[in-house]
Order: sequence, then C-alpha cells, then structure tokens
Amino acid sequence: MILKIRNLTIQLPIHRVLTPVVRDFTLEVARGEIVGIAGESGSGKSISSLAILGLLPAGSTVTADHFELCGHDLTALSARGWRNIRGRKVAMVFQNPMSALDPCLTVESQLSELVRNVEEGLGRKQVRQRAVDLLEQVGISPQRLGAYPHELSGGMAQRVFIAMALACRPALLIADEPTTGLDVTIQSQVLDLLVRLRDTIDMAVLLVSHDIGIIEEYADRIVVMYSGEIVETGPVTMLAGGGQHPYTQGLLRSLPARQGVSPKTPLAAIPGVVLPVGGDIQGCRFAPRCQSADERCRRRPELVPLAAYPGSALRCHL
Amino acid sequence: MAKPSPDVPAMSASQKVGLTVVLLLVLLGGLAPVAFDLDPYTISSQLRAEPGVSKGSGPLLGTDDLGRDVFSRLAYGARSSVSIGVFVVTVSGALGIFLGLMAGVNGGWIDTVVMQVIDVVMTVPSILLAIVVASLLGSGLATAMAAATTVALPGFVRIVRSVAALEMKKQYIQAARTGGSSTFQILWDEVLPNCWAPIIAQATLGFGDAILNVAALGFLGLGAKPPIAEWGAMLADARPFIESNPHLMVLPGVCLMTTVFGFSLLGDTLQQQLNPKGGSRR
Repeated sequence: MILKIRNLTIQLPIHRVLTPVVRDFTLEVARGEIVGIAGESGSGKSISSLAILGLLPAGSTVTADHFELCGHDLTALSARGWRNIRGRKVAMVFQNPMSALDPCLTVESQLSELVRNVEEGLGRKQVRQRAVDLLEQVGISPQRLGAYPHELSGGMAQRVFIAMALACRPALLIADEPTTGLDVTIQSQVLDLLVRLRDTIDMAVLLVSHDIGIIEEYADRIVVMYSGEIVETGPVTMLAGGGQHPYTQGLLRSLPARQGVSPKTPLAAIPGVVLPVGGDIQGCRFAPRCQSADERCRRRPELVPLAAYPGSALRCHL
Repeated sequence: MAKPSPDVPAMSASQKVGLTVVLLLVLLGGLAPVAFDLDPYTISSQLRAEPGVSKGSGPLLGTDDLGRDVFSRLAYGARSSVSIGVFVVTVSGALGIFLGLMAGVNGGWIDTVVMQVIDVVMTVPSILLAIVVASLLGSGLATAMAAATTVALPGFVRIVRSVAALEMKKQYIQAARTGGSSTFQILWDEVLPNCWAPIIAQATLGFGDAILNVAALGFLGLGAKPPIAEWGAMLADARPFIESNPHLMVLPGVCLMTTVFGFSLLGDTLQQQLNPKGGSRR
C-alpha cells in the first residue's frame, strides 16, 4: 500500500468558522492501481486530493487515525518534509492544462526546473536529455521543447503537464479532472496515456472525476463521494450491476447511452442539489434527494463492508 | 518550430526614433570622449565665451564662460547622464523587485507595511523629496542620485507587486508546488519571468525620469558640483549668459529634452509591445 488513509476529517475555515468538509474518509491505494473518485461538485473529492499534497488553504485542519503515504506520516510533516513528498512521492495533474503551465516559460525550462528539483548535480546536457525522454514518454516530439504553452493544443499541454508530473517519478499521481475542457478523442488519448504509464512505470493513479463513466472505464476501483463522505466503494465491476447506493445508481442512470436505454429518451437526473458543506445533519446526508428514503434514514448510516465484492463498502441503510 | 521569429513584432516608427536617440546618447557619452580625446575641464582665458561654431582649429561648439569646450562638456554630460540613469534604474529596480515580490507574494502585514510606506513616498512631490534627501545628506551628485532612486522606487514596487499578486493566484503556481518547488524557487523561476515585461518598460521610462530629476536637482544647485560636466548644472551655470550666449543654455537643454523624449518613446512602445493583455499581436 502506498497510500493509507483511515478516518480522515478535513475542516476548512469558511467565514472564519472551521467547517468539516470531508468526514471519515478512508482509502487505500496499492502500487500500480488506478482508483477513481467520483462525485458531484462540492462532494469533497478535490479537497481530499489536495490534503494528500498538503496544499489545503491556510487555517484548515486535518485529523486522521491514519494518514500515510509511502511510509511517511502526513499528519506530522514540516514544510520541508512536504516539499520532499510533493513531486517525489506524489504529483498532481490539474483540470485546465493551459493555466497549469507558466505562460512565460518554454516547455523545456518548465520540465528542467522539476528535473533539477529531484535530481541534483545533473549537467545541462543530462537535464535536457531527461526532458526529451519525458516528452517521449507522453508521446510528444522533442522539437516541442522550445514551445511556449500558448503554442500547444489543449491535449498536448495536458500531456506536457503529465510529463512534468512524471519528472519526479512519483509513486502516486493524482489526476484531478484531467480531461475537463478537452474533447472526447483527446480525453481518451490522455486517459489511455495514464493507463499506459501506470503499466510501464508501475505508478498508482488517483483519478478524480465527476464523470462516473470515465472512472468505470479506466479505474480498477471506485470511491463514490457525496457531500464530504464516501457513500460507496469497491471494484469498478460492481458498477456493472448499477451500483448499490441510491446516489451511485442515480449517477449511473444519468449517463447518456447506457445499455438498455433507447436513444432520445430524456436523461434521468438526480433531483435537488448537493447539501451545503458542514451543517449539523443527523441522518443520511443523501436522504433529502433519495427517492427511497424512509424512517431508518434519520440515523446516520455507517460505511459497512459488502459481502458480494471484495474490498467494497456501502453507506446506506437500505 | 525552428526559430520563434514570427513572435518578434515589427518595430514601430516611434520605437525606431526612440531607439536611435538612445543609441546616439550612448555613442556620444561612451565613445566621443575617447575617440576625440575631449577635455571638458581645462579653463582658458583666451577662449572665454566665444560664441557660435568656431572655424578652423577652434572648439566645435565654442566655449563657455570659463573657456571650457562646450562639445566636450556635452559629451561628458551624456556620459554622466547615462551612468546616472543606469545607477538609478538598477538600484531602484532591484530594490523595487525585491520589495514588490515580498509584498505581492506574501500578502498580509508585509504587504500592508510596504505599500503604506510606498504610498507615503508617493505623496511627496519628487523634487521636494529630492530636496529633503539632499538637505539631509548634503548636496552633491551622489545625493541627487539617491534622491532620484527613492523617487523611482514606488513605480517598480507597485508594478511588481500587482503582477506578482495576480500570478500567485494562478494554477501554475500551485502546480509548481505540487512538483515540490520551494517558495523561493517559485518566486524566482515562475513569478519573476512574468514580471519582466512591465519591469523593462518601467525601467526604460524610469531612465528618462532619473536623468531629468538629477538634472533638475543640478539646476537647483543640489546635484552635481561645478567642475563636473552635467547637463542640469551646465544649464544653471549658463543662466547669466542667456542673452549674450544663448547656445550655452540651449545646447544642454536640447540634449536633455531629446534624451528624455527618446527614453519615453522607447518606454511607451515597449510597454505596448510587451503587454500580454494588449492582444498577442497588433
């Protein structure tokens, strides 16, 4: 296991009040595994991944029974300790590749900055060679070394950025909505690249996305989050049956072109919106939007292991 | 992707003019004294205030009230102007970049303190501030330069701070953090390159301002001391002879005006050209 999180709770200062935005987050990621985190905006998936990088906004607090990456306890790290983790152990790919690249620097200078971060004492030529290798790894011609970000297409920029993330040979790559803003062919290009990299360099990938379809297709395991909590987790194969939690079922039903749905039928949608974070809610947080909610849902459900699939768990009374 | 030549915009006419003036100034100050073996200091009683352009072996632009060669003095004046400009812009630029980055990147109380101090400096008119500095430290060229540096500082601090504060909110800064870069590295490698364009434009404009400020102080008697060839001081020295020998006053004035004009032109056009928001290409 390279990432071990048990009962992680993250509190952010919202209007100067510490509000829990992620509660009891539990996750284990093994080497070479792709784990998908799905959920709507505001479900806490991005915040959880930022916590793994130690990049939460100032004033936030993190408590956990266990919060470990590659053997480092993430709850007790100094600023210097974090810098050694970031890049070397965990790297991140962002939503919008164009804004994640410095507009004033060439591809080469951005790549070599990171290469020098990790491997000290490399000569100019060696750094350049590493940059060329990295670009080739993501399928970009070394001629692009001199290009500025505005000269790249969106998909290319994202691949350059993945190359930057790989510069430090991380054990875990967090991809936070890596394909937002890219069209569907480029989207599969980028995701295929992530899968290929996982296979070749044995890196784990944490794929964060609101698109449960992508996760079903590319990930090995899935974590479905709702309003700061994990509602369902397990191997992606369990999605084939339509999911266990009403929220997962709703997400799956709202995908266009599911099997058994004839074209041009209106898309199903989950009624309502995500609960605002925080708030003192006693029962199930999904109950207000759940069509099958009943009396039992007034109590808070626990995350209970499911017998049907190995390593799965469900937070629902039904 | 062989050469990024299409990215270099063509020079506009005003930019060419500005560039020419600046090059001429550097040539006059840097080469003329060496090439023609000029002597701006020797006093001659025979050649006192001989008006107009002299014929034959006499001085090119005549001599001043003490019989010193005016052309030599103008050339040496150009030399001191260039060094004044370089010094003032370098010092205030470096200090301004440092303070601006500190304020823009850290925010919080550092930002407040730096910007309040800068605001105070800006409320005092530049000449008045220079007079205050000069009277505190005693007059002289060094004091005048110190005063000009102080006056030039707020411009740099404000520009760098605004760009840095803006850039710090961008995603690539966070991306750099996820790559394990330290704050200093982010400042130096990511934020500073984004500040260069406005800094260069500001430096070019500041160059002209610095020369003008130091000359004004020299004219008021708070800058360069008499034997030094400096345009502002030359103007002041020539004041009593404005009716008999107006060229003594006109020449340094024209030099000063042309120089500042050239730097302003260059600075303005650079500002337009380097500004990424003004459309990528005109």
